[in-house]
Amino acid sequence: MQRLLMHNPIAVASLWIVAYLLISLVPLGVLLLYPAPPGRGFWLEFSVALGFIGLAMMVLQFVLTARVNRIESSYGIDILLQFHRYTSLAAFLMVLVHPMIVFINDPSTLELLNFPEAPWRARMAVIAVLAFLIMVVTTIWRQPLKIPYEPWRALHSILALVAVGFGFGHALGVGYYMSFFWKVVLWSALILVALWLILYVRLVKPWLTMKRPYRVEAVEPQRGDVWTLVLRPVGHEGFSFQPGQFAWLTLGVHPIGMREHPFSMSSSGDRPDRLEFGIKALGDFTRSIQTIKPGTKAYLDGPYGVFTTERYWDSAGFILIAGGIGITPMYSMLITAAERQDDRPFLLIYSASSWEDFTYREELEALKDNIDLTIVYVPRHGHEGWDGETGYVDQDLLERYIPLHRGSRQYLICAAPVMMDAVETALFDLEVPITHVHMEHFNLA
Amino acid sequence: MRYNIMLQIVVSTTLILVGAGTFFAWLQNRPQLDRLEGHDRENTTLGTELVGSQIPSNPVEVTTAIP
Repeated sequence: MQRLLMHNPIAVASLWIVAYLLISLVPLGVLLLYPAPPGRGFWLEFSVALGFIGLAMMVLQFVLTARVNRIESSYGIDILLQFHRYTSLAAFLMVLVHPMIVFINDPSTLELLNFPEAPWRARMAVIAVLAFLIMVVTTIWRQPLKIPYEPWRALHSILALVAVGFGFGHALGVGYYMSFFWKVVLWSALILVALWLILYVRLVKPWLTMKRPYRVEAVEPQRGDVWTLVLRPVGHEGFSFQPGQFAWLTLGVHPIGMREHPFSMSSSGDRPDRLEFGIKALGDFTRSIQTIKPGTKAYLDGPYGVFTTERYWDSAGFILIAGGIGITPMYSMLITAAERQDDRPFLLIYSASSWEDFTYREELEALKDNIDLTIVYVPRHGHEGWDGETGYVDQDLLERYIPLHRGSRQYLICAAPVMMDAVETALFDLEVPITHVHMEHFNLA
Repeated sequence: MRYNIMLQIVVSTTLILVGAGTFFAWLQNRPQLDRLEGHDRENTTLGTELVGSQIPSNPVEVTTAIP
């Protein structure tokens, strides 16, 4: 039983969800230890309950985004961040409905929205809700609003602190239940944990990262508008990683500046002394990579991620499906497999705009001499004389190449979100077991 | 698929949380007599006396405060 709980990924993931529910509900449960105040009515108590649950969920967002390896390894960081986005929205709705019920229940309370004359407890509520609202709007519509990633991230952290801090202040000010001893102890502990986590992620971790610097050794152009950034550790051994994992990279500035970006390593996981990143010029930061001079200081926080062949030691082989820059983690897996003399079969289905855009094409061909590797190139349009596959990686194409015994392989997909969703659906239709399909959304921002 | 499963988990957990909130509100608003079961009725009356020394020092704040 203990082995099942510790090693079965579904059991572990379920345990985290139960923990999430319990922590969200504990503040409410503690209230039941005390006799209920009389005669406040169902709707007011329901409103209070939503307020407390919403606040607890907001505090839990600090845990979800604190890069806690144990939690992250159960789901993958992309799923965890998506969970963070959705549960934040749920918390926001609860926080919004909470005062609405009060206003409907007792319309005279609408006077509390008169900010200059309202008591502090109501002002704090307004500030907390506004901070939460700005946070939601700037996150969902960051790109249409053209907010650069780095300022957005700093603003997001500040607004999160304001929302939780003022939300807690509002609860204390109102005094419903908060005068109970254990309630105050519990909420103080939750707030302290949230504060510690944000301090850890924003200050302690960057400080630890700063003590292990790297230096840019080279910036090499690759096919498909991709640049390989080569880093060497300075004064330490670097880190080994599971091929397919990623790290948060800070270039040329102090890590406390929070100007870090996630990138998959493209080098061998067993070469901690030379770390390489394949970076495609897509956004404001990535477009500047080609201008980075050798010798520039760099900092890494990692490795992170569960998108790796390493977790499937028993698998008879792997099907790697890459689109564009999604080749980066796959390339790391293949190089590492070659260095380890892995004798299992690898099938790489690789899609790109054109034949000239297949990043690492020559290097991949060379790997065929070292491992059992089959590559199916899928350019969107074939050049003259091309007699291979063209178009998109669809169900028909997959059916031609994946083995009849679908469950004998692990399937790893890394591409643009649209392609990943299409391939995932196609694999599902081809009766590939869902537990054998693994994906990583490399656009985490 | 993964995102769909995750979305279902978010919806389920949110419904559980809202359901728990509803249950909490119902528990806190049960008819007073329910809460008297097991108490010495001769020494206990309805209202604030029921909770006696366990309520905060300023009962007015608890019963009348608004957000």
